[in-house]
Amino acid sequence: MKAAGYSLAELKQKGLVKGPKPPLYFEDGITPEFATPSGKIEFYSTQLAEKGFDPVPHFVRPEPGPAGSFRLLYGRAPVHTFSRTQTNPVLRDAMAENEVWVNASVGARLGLASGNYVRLRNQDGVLSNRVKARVTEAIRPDCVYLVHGFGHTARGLRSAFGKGASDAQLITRYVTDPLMGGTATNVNFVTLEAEA
Amino acid sequence: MARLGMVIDTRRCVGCMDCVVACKTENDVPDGHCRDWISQRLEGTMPSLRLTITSERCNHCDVPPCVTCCPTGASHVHDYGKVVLVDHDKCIGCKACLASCPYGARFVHPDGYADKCTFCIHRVEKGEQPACVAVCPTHAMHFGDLDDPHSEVSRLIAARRHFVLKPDAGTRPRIFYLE
Repeated sequence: MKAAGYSLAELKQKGLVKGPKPPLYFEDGITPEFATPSGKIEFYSTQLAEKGFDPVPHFVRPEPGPAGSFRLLYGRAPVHTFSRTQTNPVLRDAMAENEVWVNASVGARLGLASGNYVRLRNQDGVLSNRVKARVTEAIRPDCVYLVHGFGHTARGLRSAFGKGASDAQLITRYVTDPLMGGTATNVNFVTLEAEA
Repeated sequence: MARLGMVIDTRRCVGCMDCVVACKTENDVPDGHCRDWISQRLEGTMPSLRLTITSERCNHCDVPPCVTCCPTGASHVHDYGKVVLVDHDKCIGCKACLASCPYGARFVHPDGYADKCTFCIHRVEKGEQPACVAVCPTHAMHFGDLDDPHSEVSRLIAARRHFVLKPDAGTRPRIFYLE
């Protein structure tokens, strides 16, 4: 608070203190300045070099998964919100379960057709609930995709229980960006097991 | 009010199904049935893909086979806007209209009559938009008089490439999808 110019006493007295709103853009004619040693936007960062990081970002190819496995990708469908709307009757009518997207050529090779049920097993041996396959051109051959929020395990959620597979359950590993600490979860690999 | 129709921009539609939910809520559509739905068409092979998403419903055709085949006259063309409607009291649930519709737009309501999209005529007659058009978050849907050359729907059809569903069916549908 001290750095921002406020004190606890002031905050207690005022209740809510709003700081000044910084301008969104620099005005014409004003030379912009940035919080870097040179005051300019730096494509080569001496600060990063000094700390032992790459001063210019270099692409590092992601680690592939075990042979025969697929990188697990997950995303959102506009119909549902997180994992909390799967019991909503109207939304369930529109989308009752998620599907695992498998590339068409992979499906042909594995003898998998849309509508077949499979289970996903990840690199740490975690086995998912049964989930319907969607064999499609819309996913890369080295990846599979699930919409997040399904595969509920709470029996009390009667209408969502056991519907689809949980991506979250299969995400047992993550990696952290060494520079800013962000976490990436698309580093889990699954194999498909046919479900009778 | 001459001829009411719709223009739907497939570039803006994201398949969110707000139109489906809005219709269900507005028109008390029974569980397991829908008056409108989302269709997806994927073309090409990875990585060259093209996805077209369409929000579909009864097309209130200019040449409606569902009206011609109806034995009781329950299925009829309404005066206002030439919208195709079903008179519930006259309908005997014979399902000839379900069979005749090339778009699968009709279903049998649990109360026994054939049901489908009505272009929310109860709202339109009050000057409001159909529920699906009103809620679309990407403003992909437009509704109005196709016989008025200055209406938004007429201008969009004149200005942009568009298609209709099953043009070979001879129904002259009144929903135009912008490419």
